[in-house]
Amino acid sequence: MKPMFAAEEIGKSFGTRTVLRTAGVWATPGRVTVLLGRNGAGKSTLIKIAIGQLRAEHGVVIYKDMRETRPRLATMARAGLYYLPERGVLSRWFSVRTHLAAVASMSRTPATEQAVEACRLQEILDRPASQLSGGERRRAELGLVVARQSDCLLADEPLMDLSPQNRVLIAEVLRNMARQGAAVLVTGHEVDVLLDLADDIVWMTAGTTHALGSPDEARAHDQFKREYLGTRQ
Amino acid sequence: MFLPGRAFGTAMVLRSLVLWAGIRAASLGLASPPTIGPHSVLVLFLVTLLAGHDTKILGERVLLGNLGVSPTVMRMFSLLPAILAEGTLHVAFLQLAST
Repeated sequence: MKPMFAAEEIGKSFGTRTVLRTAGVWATPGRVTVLLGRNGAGKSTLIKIAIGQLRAEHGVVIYKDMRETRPRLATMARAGLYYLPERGVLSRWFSVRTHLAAVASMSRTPATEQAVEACRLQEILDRPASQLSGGERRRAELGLVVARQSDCLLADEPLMDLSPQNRVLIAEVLRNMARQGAAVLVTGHEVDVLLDLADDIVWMTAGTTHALGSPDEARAHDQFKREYLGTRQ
Repeated sequence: MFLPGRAFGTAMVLRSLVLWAGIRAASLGLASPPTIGPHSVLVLFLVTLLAGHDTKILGERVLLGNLGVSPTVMRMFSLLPAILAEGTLHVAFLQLAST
């Protein structure tokens, strides 16, 4: 199936340090694509370029019928994309309910109740974001994506620093989004959960990306096993 | 054009006004009387700069981006309240001066 979102041939340097040479990543409807790579490999840089937070030296970003060398998050968000950064997206001053109302107003068929149930937000609905724990914040942030009914999600390390219970819950929500037809792209280091969640694995190393195929194919990839998973032959 | 919605829009306007009042208060000794001129432009520039920085630090830029609000609209929500406040201050000063 054709990807809904793709960043292709992306190059980026910071001063004399080249982070991305010819990197690319994509998200396909109904599938979860997991982007793996060592710390500092450039995963977050690639995602930030893809949503226009950083400017690439070369490359193109494609989302639906848009083809941009300088993409803008707001433009893509209006067409259905949602970006979940590593640091989170909640405003500390506002309650979860206010956030949900704001994103629901963007959708023709908002799914606020579904979001509250799927992400277990009932007890924290009226609490400001500043009073939420890390796991609660992450659940609330993912609730926004569900309420928005986004058809494409780019999530940068959504499982980071979460308890096993929250990891499982968030992985379930991501899987359900894909089941309902959304294109989901996730980065992270939680290999055990991510390999179970993924349909496709993309590995970033030495400034470029490699499509490894399914999780089983990735597990069987010698270089990936040796250099990323750290397992011996 | 996508607007930030009532809650987030009100917060941006209030933030802009608080920043404007703070910058104006801090610069009282530098430029009084408060007439419109280069000093006003500097005040408005600082309000927009600090409001943008604030939005970025608080992580609201991505949130608003996800709501379809462009950076230009965000800047307008910072700048317009400050322009109104600056204009009001100027008119008030002129009225005081004429009495």
